[in-house]
Amino acid sequence: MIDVLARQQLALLPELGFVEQRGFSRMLLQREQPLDQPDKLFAITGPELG
Amino acid sequence: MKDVKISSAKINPERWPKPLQQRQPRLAEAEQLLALSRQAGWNQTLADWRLLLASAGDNALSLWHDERPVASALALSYGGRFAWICMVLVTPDWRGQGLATRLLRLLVEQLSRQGLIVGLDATPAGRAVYQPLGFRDIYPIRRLIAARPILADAARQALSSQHCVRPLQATELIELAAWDAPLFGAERYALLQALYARLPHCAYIARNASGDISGYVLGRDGQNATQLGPLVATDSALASDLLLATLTALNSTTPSTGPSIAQVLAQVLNLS
Repeated sequence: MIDVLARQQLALLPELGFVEQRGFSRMLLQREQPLDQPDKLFAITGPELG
Repeated sequence: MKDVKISSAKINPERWPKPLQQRQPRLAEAEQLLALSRQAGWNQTLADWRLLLASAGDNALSLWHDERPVASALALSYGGRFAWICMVLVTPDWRGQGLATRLLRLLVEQLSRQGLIVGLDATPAGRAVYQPLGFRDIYPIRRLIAARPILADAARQALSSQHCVRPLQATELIELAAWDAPLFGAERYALLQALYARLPHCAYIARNASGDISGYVLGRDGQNATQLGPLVATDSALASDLLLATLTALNSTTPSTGPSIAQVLAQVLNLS
């Protein structure tokens, strides 16, 4: 199981047999800019850990 | 521990004669709280709950009824900069009574007093709750799952990047945490260390020709599936190589009816 940023194109994942199970939305309170660098972040740790 | 009266006409005093008790959950209660995430079908293990409770400290709230946890909401603080809300859970028989919203509001107030930026990853159902509270979408995340990754063909594409990918060593964690901090947005050495300890054989690091870190991947066991991540890399080719490395390691430690990925890789790389 892997939680990938939707913007990242990892063609390898469907080739390996990964299918989408569900989606999440990363949200920040009263803020519109990310705290991280999404161009280098491919998969998060998990919704519970950020 | 304090008794609280939840203002909701939906709570039937005949069905629930005892008051709810709101308090910070204790580390020793991790096993009881695990029931909450299990009921929701989430992936956390007892080790996850222990990690979360130990990390959250005062920023953990729970509601108990008759010595049983019925709701939880936690937040992990990173680098004194931001806090990540998680484990907003309500047991099925207590849902629809405003318990999650109550804990969430209390937690957000508490975190705001601490001067922390507040974030979370919301399910579609959760998003509808968080938006009215002022949470804004930053970017979407897709959860992908594979019963058993098909590695044979992918192995032939291995090592497509120009980086050296190899197992992460515990001695590299401090350097890794320093490299990761500006990319994640805060220092998270303790978390990376804890994840590494959970599944060290799935931890890989990449370095460029100069020996500088250029990416890494970690993984951890779960209630339903092994969770891979974080996966951080300077480009997508390297991210794919790291992913393949960790899946190969994972594959070699789980039962298989076909050739192992180690055997496939050995054939591809003419090692056998």
